[in-house]
Amino acid sequence: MEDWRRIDIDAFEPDKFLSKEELVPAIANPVDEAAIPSIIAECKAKLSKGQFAEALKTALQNPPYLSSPAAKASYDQLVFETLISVKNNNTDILPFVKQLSSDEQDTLVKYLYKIMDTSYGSKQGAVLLAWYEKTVEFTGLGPVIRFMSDRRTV
Amino acid sequence: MSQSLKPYLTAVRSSLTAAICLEDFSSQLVERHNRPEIEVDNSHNPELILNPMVIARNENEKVLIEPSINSVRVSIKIKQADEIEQILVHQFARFLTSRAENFFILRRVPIKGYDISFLVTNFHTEQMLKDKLVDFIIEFMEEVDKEISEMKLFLNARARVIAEAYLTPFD
Amino acid sequence: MSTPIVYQLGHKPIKDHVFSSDRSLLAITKDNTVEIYRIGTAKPQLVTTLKGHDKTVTSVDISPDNSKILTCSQDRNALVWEYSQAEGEYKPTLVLLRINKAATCCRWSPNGDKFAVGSNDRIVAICYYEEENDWWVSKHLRLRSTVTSLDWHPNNVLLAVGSTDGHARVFSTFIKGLDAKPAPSVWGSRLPFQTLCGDFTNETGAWVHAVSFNPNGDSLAYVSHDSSLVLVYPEGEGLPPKNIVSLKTNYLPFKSVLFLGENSLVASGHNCNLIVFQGDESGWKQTKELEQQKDLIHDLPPKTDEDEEISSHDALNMFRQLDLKGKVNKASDKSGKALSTIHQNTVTAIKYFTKGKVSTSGIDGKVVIFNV
Repeated sequence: MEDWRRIDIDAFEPDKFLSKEELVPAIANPVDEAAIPSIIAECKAKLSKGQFAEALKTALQNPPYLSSPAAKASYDQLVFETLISVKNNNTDILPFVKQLSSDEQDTLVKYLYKIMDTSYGSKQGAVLLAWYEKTVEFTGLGPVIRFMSDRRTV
Repeated sequence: MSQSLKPYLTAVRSSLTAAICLEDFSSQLVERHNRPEIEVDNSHNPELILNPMVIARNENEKVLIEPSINSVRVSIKIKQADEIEQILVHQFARFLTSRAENFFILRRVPIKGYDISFLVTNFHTEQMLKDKLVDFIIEFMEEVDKEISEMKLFLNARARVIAEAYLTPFD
Repeated sequence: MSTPIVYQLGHKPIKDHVFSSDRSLLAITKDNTVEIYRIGTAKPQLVTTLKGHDKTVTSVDISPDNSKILTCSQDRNALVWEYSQAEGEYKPTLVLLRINKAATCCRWSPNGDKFAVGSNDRIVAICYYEEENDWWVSKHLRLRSTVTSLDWHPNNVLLAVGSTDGHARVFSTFIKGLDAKPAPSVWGSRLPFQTLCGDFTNETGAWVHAVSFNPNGDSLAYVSHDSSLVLVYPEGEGLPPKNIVSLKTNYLPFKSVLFLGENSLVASGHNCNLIVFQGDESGWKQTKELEQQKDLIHDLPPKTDEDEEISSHDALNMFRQLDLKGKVNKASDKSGKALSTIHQNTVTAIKYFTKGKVSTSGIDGKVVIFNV
């Protein structure tokens, strides 16, 4: 006999609660999943040429909000490498934070939180925290609040 | 304060300040109940939960902040370099959690993977000033490291004294 | 600029406050009751306490003609209080809300002949008085998430609704036999009950905390949990809006917003300060902070000497002393540092007071009248 005590009756509610997907607001121009490898390549090319500011901007311009977890993970790696590389090759990272637009600063903080949660990111805690400190010192609490409340996750 | 500790605590402080923006919110699911939404299984109702934040200093030291509309759960993983520190942290956390009512915001059971958890609800923020709450958690994090290393020193010193007492040759 | 007037009304949180239209009475929520104060003398005099709810009262409003007080509570009920001359006290009438969860906010319509109650039950109840039965009945507007705030359009028919799914919507609440047919506006011309006249969201999908129509009712402002302020200028029925101005700020999220005029508004909330914005259809910008504010993160006050610095790790010290000495030295009671603003905790509501003045209420139990 079916274990009717364990039936989730809320699932049968006609007007049930909003799902995670329904909560995400419309995104103006989402990144095509197929375009991600080319963005990654472009960014890495800029890094090898020493164009750190441009590389950082490329990486943070249009984050893949709607992509698959695998594609997002590869993008996380890219942002991580960019951040490490910028930090290793420059003594002061504040100018790099300043040249970003406010949307890009929001995205940067989103990635900092996300990367700190990964196994490779937590090994480089000092670098990420340095980025975080400089960014939040410059921007104030806005990006932190928007990381928390944004339904579009990176 | 050591060099790398400062950015870590600053990051925790700003994350907590942003997360502890709570309001009185009665349950959407259960009539006439007011419960901390972060502690409820909200898998089919993600609306009231915000994105969790992890701040990691390294693999062994991190903080997890899980915000929701009327409550925030803060979990701390304390640095444990060796087995003695593991035992000390475990005992210390147990000592505190068994006296949780004296701390108001301490959770009796830590979240899996962390050593100690706090639960801040809107009722706490209504009674206490928010920056005091944040200060409390930050200072707790500062003190606990000191405390553990102090205890370790005590333990080693005591072990040495005992060993000397036992092993003093007869004359 | 004169200094703000501060009323410290206990230390319990004030979730909402309202002044009567002649500014002589002040009603505030306090736990399960509503307290009514007489203003005018130096100190507010407690007139009476309205006891009728058995859960936290979430919102209070006084009808435009000052004859009725509306309260709603987490106990799923709304009450309309009328002063009875014979008995010399306020008498409640229960409203048939037909909701199963907490009521979150309530507002009288500009004409005072109906009111709206928002709820956790994902319903807005539009209530009006039914003469033949002698009670308040309601019609429902259905949503899919909790209603956080309401604001009436000056035409007495349109209602703005903010909710936790990150949407601000404009509904028609036209009730046959009660409302005159409203004049066509940018929101539409034919408006039967429950017509959705506008549906807007913010960039991030964060909870909307407060909505407000501008004074002539042709645009809508709302603040959300992502610290943003959005202003919508609709073009007309069936057309996309003329412009949507979205302002990201770096303050903690705002909980309340109020238009000061067609071209300026004030917002406040978790940041405990009042921020004034000015602008028009082409764009808005922040013009001033009403109070000097310390940054919570960077400008920590210098530590005082060790004996005094016990406030927040009292508990740890207590255990340490127990451990080492076997007794507790009572820590001296020191309130320690505080915010530099008047409100020490979240500002819950901003209301219009008189020209150039607004009143605010806060979780810290204060009602303050600011000059803006």
